Amino acid sequence: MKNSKITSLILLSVVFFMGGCKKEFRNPNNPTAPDILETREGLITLSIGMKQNYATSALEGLYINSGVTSREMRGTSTLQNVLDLEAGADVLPTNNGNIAQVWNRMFRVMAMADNVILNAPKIIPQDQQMLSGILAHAHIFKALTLGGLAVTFEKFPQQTNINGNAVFVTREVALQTALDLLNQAKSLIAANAPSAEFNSRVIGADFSMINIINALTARYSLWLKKYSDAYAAASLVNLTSKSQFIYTTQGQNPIFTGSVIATSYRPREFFGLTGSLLEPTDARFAFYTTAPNATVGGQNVKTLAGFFNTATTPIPVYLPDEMRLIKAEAVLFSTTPIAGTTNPGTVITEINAVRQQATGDIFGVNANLTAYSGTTDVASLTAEIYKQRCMELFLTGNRLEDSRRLGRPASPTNLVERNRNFYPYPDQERQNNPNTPVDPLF
Amino acid sequence: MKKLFKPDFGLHFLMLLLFTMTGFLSKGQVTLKGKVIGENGKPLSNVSVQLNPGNNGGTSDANGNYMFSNNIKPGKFTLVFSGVGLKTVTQQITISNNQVIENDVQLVSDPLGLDEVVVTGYGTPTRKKQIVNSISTVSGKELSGSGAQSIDAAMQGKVAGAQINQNSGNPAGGMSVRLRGPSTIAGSSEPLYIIDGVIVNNDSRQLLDLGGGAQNRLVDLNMNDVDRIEVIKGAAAAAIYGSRASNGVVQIFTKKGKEGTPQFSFSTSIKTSELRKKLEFNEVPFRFNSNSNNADLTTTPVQRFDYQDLIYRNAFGTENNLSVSGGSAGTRYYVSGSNFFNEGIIKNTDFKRNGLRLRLNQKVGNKVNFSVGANYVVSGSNDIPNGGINSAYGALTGFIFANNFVNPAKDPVTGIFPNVTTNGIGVRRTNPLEAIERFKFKQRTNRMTTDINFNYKPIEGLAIDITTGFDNYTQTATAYIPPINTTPTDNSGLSRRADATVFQTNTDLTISYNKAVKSWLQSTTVLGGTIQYDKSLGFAANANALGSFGQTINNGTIVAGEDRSERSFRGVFLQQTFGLNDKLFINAAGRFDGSSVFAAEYAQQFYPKLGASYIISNEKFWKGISNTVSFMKIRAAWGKAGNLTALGSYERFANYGAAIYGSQAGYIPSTSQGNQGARPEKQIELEVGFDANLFKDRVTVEFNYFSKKVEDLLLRRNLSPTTGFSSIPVNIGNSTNKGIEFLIKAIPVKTKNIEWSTSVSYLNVKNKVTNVGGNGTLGFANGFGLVAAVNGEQLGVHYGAFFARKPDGSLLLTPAGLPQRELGTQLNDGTFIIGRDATTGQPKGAGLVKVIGRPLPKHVVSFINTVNIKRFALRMQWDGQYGFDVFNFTKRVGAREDYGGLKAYEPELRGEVPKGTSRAVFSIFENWIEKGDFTKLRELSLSYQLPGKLWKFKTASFTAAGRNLLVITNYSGYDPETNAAGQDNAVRGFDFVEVPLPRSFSFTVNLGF
Repeated sequence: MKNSKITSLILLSVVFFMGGCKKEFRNPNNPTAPDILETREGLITLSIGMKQNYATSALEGLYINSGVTSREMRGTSTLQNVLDLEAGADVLPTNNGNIAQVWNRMFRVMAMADNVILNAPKIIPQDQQMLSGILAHAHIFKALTLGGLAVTFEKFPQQTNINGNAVFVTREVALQTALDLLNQAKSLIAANAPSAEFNSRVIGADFSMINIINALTARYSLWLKKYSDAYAAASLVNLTSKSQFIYTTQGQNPIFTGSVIATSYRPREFFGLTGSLLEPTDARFAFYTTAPNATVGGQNVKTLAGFFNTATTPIPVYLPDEMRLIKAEAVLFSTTPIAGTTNPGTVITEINAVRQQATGDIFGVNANLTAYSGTTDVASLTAEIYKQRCMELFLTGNRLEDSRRLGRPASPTNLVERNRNFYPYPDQERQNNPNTPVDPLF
Repeated sequence: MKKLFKPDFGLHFLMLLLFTMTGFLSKGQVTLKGKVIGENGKPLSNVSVQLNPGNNGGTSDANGNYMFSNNIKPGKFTLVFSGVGLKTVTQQITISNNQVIENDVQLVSDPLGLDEVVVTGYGTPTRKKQIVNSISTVSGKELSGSGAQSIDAAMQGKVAGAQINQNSGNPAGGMSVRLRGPSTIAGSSEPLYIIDGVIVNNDSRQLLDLGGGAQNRLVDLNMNDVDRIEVIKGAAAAAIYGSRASNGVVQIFTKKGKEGTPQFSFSTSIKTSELRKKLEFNEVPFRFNSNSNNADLTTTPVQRFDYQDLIYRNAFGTENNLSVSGGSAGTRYYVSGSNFFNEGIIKNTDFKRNGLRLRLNQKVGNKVNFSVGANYVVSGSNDIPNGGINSAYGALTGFIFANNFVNPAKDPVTGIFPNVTTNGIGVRRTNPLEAIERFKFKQRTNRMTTDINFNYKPIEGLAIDITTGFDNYTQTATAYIPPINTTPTDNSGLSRRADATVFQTNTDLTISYNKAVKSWLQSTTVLGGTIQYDKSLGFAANANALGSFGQTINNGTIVAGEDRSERSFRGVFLQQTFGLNDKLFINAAGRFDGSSVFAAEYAQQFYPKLGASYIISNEKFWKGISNTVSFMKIRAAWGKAGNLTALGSYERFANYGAAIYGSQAGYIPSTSQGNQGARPEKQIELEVGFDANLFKDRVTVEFNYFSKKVEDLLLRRNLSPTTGFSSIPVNIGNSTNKGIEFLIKAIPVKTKNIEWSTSVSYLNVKNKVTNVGGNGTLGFANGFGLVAAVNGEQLGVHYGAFFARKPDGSLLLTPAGLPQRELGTQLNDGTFIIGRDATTGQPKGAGLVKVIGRPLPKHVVSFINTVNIKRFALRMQWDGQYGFDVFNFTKRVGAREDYGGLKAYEPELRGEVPKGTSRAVFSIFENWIEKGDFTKLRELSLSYQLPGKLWKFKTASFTAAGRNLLVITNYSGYDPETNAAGQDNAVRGFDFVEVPLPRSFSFTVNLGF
């Protein structure tokens, strides 16, 4: 071989060295933050993802864990975190994975909502009909996360903070923020009706934003004891409109997979209700639960049915009859009479509308009971409202809040109906956020 | 170049210099020839004879004769004789024209390998004597008699400073190699493997969930092709390999052809493997009627079964190798074909490997050599899942969770396997016999590794070397669990197909220049550059809800996913070595390194190294003790190197994942925030040591002290969830590995017929991690939440609940008389305050956790003896590891009342301990930590070399070998050398029904023709 040939070979190699090597590769598997947060398409798809993540993850954390704490559900696995959640009271440690699950998942969705609310006006200011839609949508989901956190925690940030020092507010402040957000959402879609593109891509079938806004306004107003607001909002909800989260084999019903398949949590027989709270003939038992039955640690448990019986069964965003029960409770407790109602007349009417429903509920939740025959004093009606809420709103993340609001027996003196009032703050928050307040004792 | 190296280090040898000085000053035909003999006067073959300058040379043949001729200009030359395991001899000769120079030489053995030429860490061939750091070498001969299934398994005990563990007794093993301790927390501590200049992939891909274990891809290499292995153990030596080298570098050189007639070598062996030790099983002929009611002591008679008899078998294996090597002037070749088949001791498991290898070396003129190599391998396995880290459907998993009073045999009428758990919690476990009979788990790998190398020596002292290598494989895995079965979660059946296509390439350019600047000053300068690229394409699809027939995923509902990754690396290094008077050597190098894994501003990293060695025995004042210590070299080296295995190719980005809602595609953010500021982890190592020959070279000692400090460890630090994320990769952690290692080789007996050589290697390493973030503890997946990094502790401590104790150390029992967990207030860094109820004195507070076990051995020892008596060779290798704990999760499960298949549950049944004890201690993890110290007879072999020809074969030898014959340990499980988490970096010493290492016997016939 000639020297010149060799020299050129070496030179070629050197050239290859200098230029033959790409220094940066785009991620072919995933979009990254600029793709999502700085483009119109990114914000639309983030809105879809936010909804999916709430439906398949945040909702599960709230429904199952607060369900265990309020004794609707029974943790059946022998894992330490489940045993501790089941024990509740002061046994529940701050490093419990289940309480972290509620916290982490809600804030994950809240961060998505915060990002949409922050970026959408900058990225798509011209497309008002898309902007109003995805902003209203983000407001709804942020309100849902604030509401979910208010069920389980006494204080929490109402805004995510990337620097890790989010400021805590009381749940009352956060619920008022949720109401403000819902109100803004209503104004947004009133001012600019969302575009057809938004409706077909982000909303899809069976998701009525206006009814959801009114239903959540009614719910959170009731929790804040703003009875006339609650009544007014509940009255605006169209009880024949259906709003639900849908599931597919790729994004499965999380309570079906978490409870029915994994059998880590199972519904207590009669939803855990006993004594005067139990009416065994209630048709809703058979709607929500089924065989096979089992006994775990002396507790009879059943298998979930209702909205949780297959991987693709939809879960309602809210149940229409919740509005009737909100009205009943608002009328019962409102210190100033609400126009067009009588107390207890309207209370009993609304209760009976739930009790006596034999058919016709759009979700099929029919009690098929006789009319209310108890006494009409406030305590009895309160107990009846609580019972109907437990039955109608089984495993919807409401019962812990209902139990507190309606003054049911409380932890730590009585663990029968709820083993904890509020959860302690997860270790991961406390270790990284100096603003984390003192844990509630029970 | 070699004239500075004096041909003696106080040694005696015989040399004959025959030359005449006649003639002309023009080029003429010169022939050099002669005979090379060894210490015993017998001819030595394969000794390289090199005439410098000018690249003329040859190799001695089987009779020790060498001869080469060329047109050579008269002048002064050096003639260098070198061979593996021999001390190099250099002679000054003067050549005149047209003459025949006959020169016989005797070479003596070189027990410390000081004249051995090594490459790793230097970039250019360098004599071991000159290097400033320690380097371990293993010859191919040491590997091939070991009876092991892979190169890394065969290396066990043969590299000082290495802890090599076999994690699984599966027929393809699953090996972990740690050089001077683990060097990362979140990444991989496996060294960088280079084969013939090609960076090869040694991933342990878990394409199937086999319970935690996986094959590591070094298993694709046939160890019979290995000529030698060089190992450098840390940054002090490995800096020139840059960001990938902090775990050390293992460089493997395969065999090359030799000039001459074709040499055929054939070996065939058979192997049997068996379970070395059975776990003692529960033989009490009754069971309690109630497990939950401690007051109910009523029982029912039962028949107990030993499932192990039904799961394990005596396995069989075969191995065949055929190689041909040879060459004519300028061209040499080596070709081999191999076939390996190894059954596992679990029924229906096996591993097979078929491979072809080619190595071609071509000389072009006097200045250019080029070489091409290719290795094609097809390997495959039939697997049965075992171990319980991930999957709950394994055979041994089923065994340990089974109630052994259930007869596991299938119903003879329906063919249905019974559920083997009857406990009340309603969780099913797989019937092990069903897993063996009905599950079909298979893996197959197609691998092609090729390299091409050009070496050009344009002028004396200058060498330019270019190597390009490709390593490319596709690993395909399939799993099938038929529907209607006893598995806990796959009753509707499971079909899985997973593929990984991996491509790696590297091109390395090395320019070295060697010059005698002054008569006393030798200089070697090396300029090197590398570009590397790798790509992997992963695909996996699962199907469930299968029909009753058909094993492919199309028989059910499919969920599929894929992952692609690309990375590139660039590096340039400059290295300078000075040799002063052939006794003081100084080496300095620096490498600039870049990787696409990191953002541009952090991609460029600088890794320097500096070292010096001093052959003190060359000084005059040493003469007095040179009879006792004939050679003494002291050395010190310091360097930096990086590790980037802790960060995925795209992990620095804030990534979003697909989330499909209905039929609309959406995206959600990853729970990891991403960090553009992430940098490679950086190791700084200081190594100080000496090499010495004692008692007329009968004893050699290599000793090292090392201190590794790893900074900027990439950890996924927790974020407050109110950020919207749960973690971020940040460079916060630190760790250290400090220790000593030594290797002592001795030849206690050496007579005409008998030679006994012995060697002891020892490693003592202490690992410590700090700055793990959060509350000073960081848990690891794959360890059931019971393995963590804790500030101030070694990596991967067992971390969990412990017994409540009285001040005197005895157990504080519950009022019912049962052991209980300690309670109190948990503090940072694994500390706590014990809580006691003021009135009852019982534990009070939250459940406490602490460090309960330390899985990394303090002492790793290997003791090898070889005795050659005439034509017999007896070899014995003992390995030991001491000062570490094993988490006996296997016993924890088998001793519990709900499962109760092990003898450890018997005391409760027989009433020797209160009923309820096994349940009480089940989750007090301290109870399940055992000392793992073991001494193992790793290898024992006896070979016999036939004196003459055997039929048509020139040489013939027979070897009988045993492996893992005997384990001396107090550990109660199968074997303390196990890890259910496979090659996991942090989760170590975790015994959870992984397949135990078999005891095996092999018989091999080697034929040469």
